[in-house]
Amino acid sequence: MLSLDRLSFGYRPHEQQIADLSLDLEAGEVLGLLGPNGAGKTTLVGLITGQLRPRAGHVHFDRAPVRLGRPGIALVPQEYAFYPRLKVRENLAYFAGLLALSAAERRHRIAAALDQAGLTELVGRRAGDLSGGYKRRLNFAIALLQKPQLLLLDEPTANVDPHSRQDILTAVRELSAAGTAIIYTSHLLDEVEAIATQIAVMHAGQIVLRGSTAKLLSDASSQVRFSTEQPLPPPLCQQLQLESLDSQTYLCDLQKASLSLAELTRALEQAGHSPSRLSYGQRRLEEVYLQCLAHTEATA
Amino acid sequence: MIALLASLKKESLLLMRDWHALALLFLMPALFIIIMSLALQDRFGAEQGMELAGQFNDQASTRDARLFRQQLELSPYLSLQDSTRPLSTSGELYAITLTADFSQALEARTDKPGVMLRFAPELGGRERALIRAAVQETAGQLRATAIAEELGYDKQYAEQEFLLTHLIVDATDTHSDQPALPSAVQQNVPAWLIFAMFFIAIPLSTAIIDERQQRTFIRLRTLGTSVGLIYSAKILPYFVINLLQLVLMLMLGIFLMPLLGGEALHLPAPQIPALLIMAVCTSLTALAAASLIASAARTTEQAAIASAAGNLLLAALGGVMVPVFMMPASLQSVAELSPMHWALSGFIELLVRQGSWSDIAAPAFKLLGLAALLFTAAWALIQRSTRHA
Repeated sequence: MLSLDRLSFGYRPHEQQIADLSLDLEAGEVLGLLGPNGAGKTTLVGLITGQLRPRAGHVHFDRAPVRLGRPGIALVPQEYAFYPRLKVRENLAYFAGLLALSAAERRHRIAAALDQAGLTELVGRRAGDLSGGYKRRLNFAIALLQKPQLLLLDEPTANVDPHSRQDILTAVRELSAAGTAIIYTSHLLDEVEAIATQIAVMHAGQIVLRGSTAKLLSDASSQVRFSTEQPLPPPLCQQLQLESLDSQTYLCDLQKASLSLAELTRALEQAGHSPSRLSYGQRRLEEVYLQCLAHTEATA
Repeated sequence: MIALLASLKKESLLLMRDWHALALLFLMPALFIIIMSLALQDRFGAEQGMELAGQFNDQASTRDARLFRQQLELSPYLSLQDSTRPLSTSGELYAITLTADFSQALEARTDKPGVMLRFAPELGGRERALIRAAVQETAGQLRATAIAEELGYDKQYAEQEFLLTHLIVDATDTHSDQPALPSAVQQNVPAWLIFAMFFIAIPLSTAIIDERQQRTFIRLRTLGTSVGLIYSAKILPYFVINLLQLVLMLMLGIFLMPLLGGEALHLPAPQIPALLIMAVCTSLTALAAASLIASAARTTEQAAIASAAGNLLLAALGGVMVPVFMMPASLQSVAELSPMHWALSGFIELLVRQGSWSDIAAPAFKLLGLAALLFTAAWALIQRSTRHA
């Protein structure tokens, strides 16, 4: 559905924000686009939507070159890209009015977007008076008016309450299930891990890691992750060769520590610490991401 | 068409809910017109109605002195009271004292002065010159009459015909019987109207930049909305606002000012179409300036400062705050550079001198030319920035 072929771009002649980047995305896939600030994620989104013209390479959507305003491609910017002094319904009516639709179809799409974003009860409220979570929902709902085949979401759940986050993620899953391809950029890696079917990590304008989420997170090594209620004493950590991931989360390489999983749990229980949230055979996205960046920077 | 209507509806709703902008665009010029017209109504209109209160002290008590007093009182600007009280306590602005040697001084038979003038410190230079001129004119007239009598001319002829009719004739060069210079209301209504019309640069440019900063502009572009439609929909409601400003400020001048004790603005019906054309030209220039500021500025703060400072500078130069005819000659030539002056001269031509289409052609074309130039520059900047959005 979306195909980026050897894409290069620079804002100035001697700069290169995107370098020889290729990427494919199929209908229904959710691509988690990760990378540190300045990696080129926003520039890449600009190239996909047609705001920016590539210096070299091609962007194709449904086998046709992408141009700005191409129907079927919708963008949800990180900023609240609507009018705070307008009511929720007025905002949606305005954006729907820009689409070449019949009056009946406009009404239908507004109602559907309100329903999908959970805003039906708030149609009469001024957008500027909504809470942060509902503002995010409205930002998202405006993109739904386009019935997009490709949806680009830039930090769609930044600074929102858990309830609104869950609703937005549910709506994203529903869109994906209905066949919409989604590019999801976020610094909230737990969220990306929960929703993305594909992961791409960007660094210095290039994709340095790309694969399905399930494959990237599967781990054939002997590492065990677990949490405890209290921080473990340093001598115990030393004895069991534990690496502290945060104050109450630890990583143990069983092979390196010459322990079996049963021996590790027994040793912890004898020291008065029951391990919880124990995971074995799977890595967290955060770990994959940080390792990838560390490796990229070390080899650069 | 639906997209344009939706955009116009959206912009109109946004504008109607922006009370700060509406106050700035309507209340501010209305207050300026009322305050400035009432405060300055005695300072305009070629001293119409101006009467300077002063003292007269006759120490000579001669026939010449009495004739001098009678002649001086014919001046429409001077109101004389017999008094010798100090100006600091009497409240009068000047004192004219005829010394005991007045008659001799008039005939140049003494070195001593015949007339002494004292002015209150608060009396302006223009008024002092007016009083001096009245005194000199009266003295000169008496002296000339005396000479004419000595030469054997008939006294009445010497006083009336020779001096007043044959020697000096004055006339006002104007299209009609209207005064050439504007009254306070005729000056202040168009001046503050133009100022307010240009003030749309602040809300308009900040609204455009807000849209850009919030990435709503990018969202609109990804929806397939053209830059032309986005900007047209932004500009059109402000054009309507400019025309509403015209109607309301003129109504204020015509109906409200007389109720507040000021002079009513006289607007002859045949002048209305030309006045509308001047307003349209002024509005297009203001909208073009706002578009250029919005395209060039990166932040709303930059746009607000550039709009406000530019507006004040153009207004000060263009004769909005101080009428151009009151400025020194050197500054009057600088005023020619301000588009507010072009607009104001067109309005005054119509309101004060009952000018015709040909009288407003020059300022109207200057305004249209500038508007075209500014719109072109704004469009070039928009095209450049949208390529790198």
